[in-house]
Amino acid sequence: MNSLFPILAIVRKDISVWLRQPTSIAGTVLPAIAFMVILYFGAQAVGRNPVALVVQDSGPHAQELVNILSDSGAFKVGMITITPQKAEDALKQVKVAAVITIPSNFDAAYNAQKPDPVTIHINNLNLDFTNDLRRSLPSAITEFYAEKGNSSPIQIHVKETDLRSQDIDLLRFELVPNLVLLLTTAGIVNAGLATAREWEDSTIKELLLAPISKTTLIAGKLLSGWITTLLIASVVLVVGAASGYLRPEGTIYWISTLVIVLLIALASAALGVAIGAASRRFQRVTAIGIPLSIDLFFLSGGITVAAFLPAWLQTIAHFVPTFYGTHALQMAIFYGSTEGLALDLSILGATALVAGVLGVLSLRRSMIA
Amino acid sequence: MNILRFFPTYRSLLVIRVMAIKDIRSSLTERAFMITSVIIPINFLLLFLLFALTGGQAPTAIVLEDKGPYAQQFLSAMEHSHSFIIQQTTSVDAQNLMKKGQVVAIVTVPDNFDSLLRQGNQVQLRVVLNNLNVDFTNDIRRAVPLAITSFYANAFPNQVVIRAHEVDSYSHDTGYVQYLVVSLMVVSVMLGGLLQAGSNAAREYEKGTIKELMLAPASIWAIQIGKILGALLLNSLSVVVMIIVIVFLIGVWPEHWDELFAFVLLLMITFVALGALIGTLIRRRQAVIPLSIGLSTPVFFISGAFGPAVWGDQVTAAITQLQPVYYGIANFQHAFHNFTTTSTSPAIDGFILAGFAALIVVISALALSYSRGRGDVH
Repeated sequence: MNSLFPILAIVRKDISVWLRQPTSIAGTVLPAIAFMVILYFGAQAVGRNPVALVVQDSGPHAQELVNILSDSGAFKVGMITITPQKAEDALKQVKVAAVITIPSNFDAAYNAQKPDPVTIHINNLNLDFTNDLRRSLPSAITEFYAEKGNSSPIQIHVKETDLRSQDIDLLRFELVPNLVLLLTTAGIVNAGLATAREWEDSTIKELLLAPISKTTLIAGKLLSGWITTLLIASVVLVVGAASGYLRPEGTIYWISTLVIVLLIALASAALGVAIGAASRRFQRVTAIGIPLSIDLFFLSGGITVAAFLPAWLQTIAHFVPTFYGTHALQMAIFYGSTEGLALDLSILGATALVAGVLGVLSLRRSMIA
Repeated sequence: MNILRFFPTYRSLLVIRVMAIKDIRSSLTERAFMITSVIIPINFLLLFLLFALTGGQAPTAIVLEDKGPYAQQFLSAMEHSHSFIIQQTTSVDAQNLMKKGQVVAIVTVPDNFDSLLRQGNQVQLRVVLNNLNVDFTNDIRRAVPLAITSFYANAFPNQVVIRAHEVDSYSHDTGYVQYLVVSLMVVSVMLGGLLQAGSNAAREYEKGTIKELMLAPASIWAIQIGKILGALLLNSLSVVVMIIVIVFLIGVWPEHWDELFAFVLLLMITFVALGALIGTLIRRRQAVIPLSIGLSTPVFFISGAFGPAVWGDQVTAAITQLQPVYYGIANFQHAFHNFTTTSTSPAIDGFILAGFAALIVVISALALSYSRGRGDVH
């Protein structure tokens, strides 16, 4: 009980100072906001390259292919013309990414069952969207044949089985790694700054001369860092749940979500205390803390799905604690699943413990120094 | 002293030189920050390259229960569809790979695949998807039928007669990494410039030395240009390391070295001046890092880093043409790959970039001048 009041006093003081530092709060949320902006634009731009269509045949089959290409989710048809030169000029002026030409004998060749090539002229600047375009025309041809129904020569049919009950849209899916980024940045930067501030403002002397134990002081610092991180997390979780974007289905998944958030916040705050005590300078805390959080974000999958990374990078990701935090939150929030939860929780728990020990040791060492 | 009185230009040059040397010396005393300001842009460049490494192709296990010629041809069609990274395996191993998250789809070719096709009967192709998010799941949903059609076009050319005939504008494809790393260099130059100059400018306010600068009998332009020059020289450290990484480590050799050096210099001036402006306005080094990262990242994404910006959303494309990163990326893509990614020519893009550099230098000097005018140095 004797230690509780000083701990609460330190927590109260740190939170009051934090609330009076809008730049710290902005610094905490800015990287996560920046990545959300990126993801928004990324989601808008996915695979929709502008193309020009040169239609030299007015037959029904040619028109059918034109309609498929126009409605395709893979293209944005920016120009339909019968003049090849006009389309080629647009390609040269970088107004379109490709020119697709349906030749004048398209219907005749199709009806005669003779080779019937559709030409695609691609501005192959890089393999990413070049491959998108390479896939898109054959994809339209596939749809052309699929629309023939029973008369289609294609007899192979896909029987799809999905592992998850629902597909999550890209932007929503990326909210979880972003939440983890926000938690790590908030924990590391806020707890780090609160700790470094004691040295920058020389208030550490007063704390050390106060009639309280070092353990009380350390506990107060860790707790305040943890609480400020959780304050930010609670705002995101409440907004996420209210909007439906981040709403776990069922009490059990709410509990697992909260436990995961508590553990990530604790680990980040403890790491922040360790960095703050070791560096004792504001600038060093932000210079180390923000890039470290972004590194953890990228290495744990970040703006992609870990399975798409090369094998060596996937191996590295398995050594990054935020990878497990992201996985556990995605399972709980989107899929109502406990898949891998025990492993995820144990790794997050162990990380919080190790970070806590690091924080205590670093703070104790700096106080003695 | 008399010489200085009679030759104001010489005097200004002296102020510029002294300011640059002072800022370089001050920065060198803060080694931790100096090192991080070099590392952060390179770190940024390497991290974003991870994004390119995913390549957009779905890691997929294919289980061939039939080893006949049609099944083999179907496997080949999947391999050449630009959509999958294929692992041919057994059913049990495929399930394990899926469980470990190493593949996101399993395609099973049934044991009667060849015989059913020969008889002209229907074949059911089982596809199991780890449908984590709709984006890549839909890619796979589109890619499997595409592989099927390609297979038919090769195996039964008389039945599937429509084919895509590709013509490319450039004789060789440029890899995504090779393309993206050039765009990333622009944002890394931006980040380095903002960090270095922003911190140098904010340091004057934090340490109170801005008062001395404001009271000094020197032109505000000379002071600001000196600060920009100092930050430019410090920033060149990280830029040199970046060029070494891109050219010698990643192996992207510039087609036009002269353009590269000219545009690097223009970009450095632009962003160092912008950093000086930010530092002058916010006056706290603590805020410079998050602001620099928070500003660089979204600007980079809307500026045509992955392909010409004009191919994206029209509103974004219009907005992005109002800022220098757009022109920087276009100029760098031309310098490295001889690519044209804007509707304007590289020369015009270069002039626009030079205009931005001059404009931002002027605004940053005016901001400092405004501070002096108001006596607002705290």
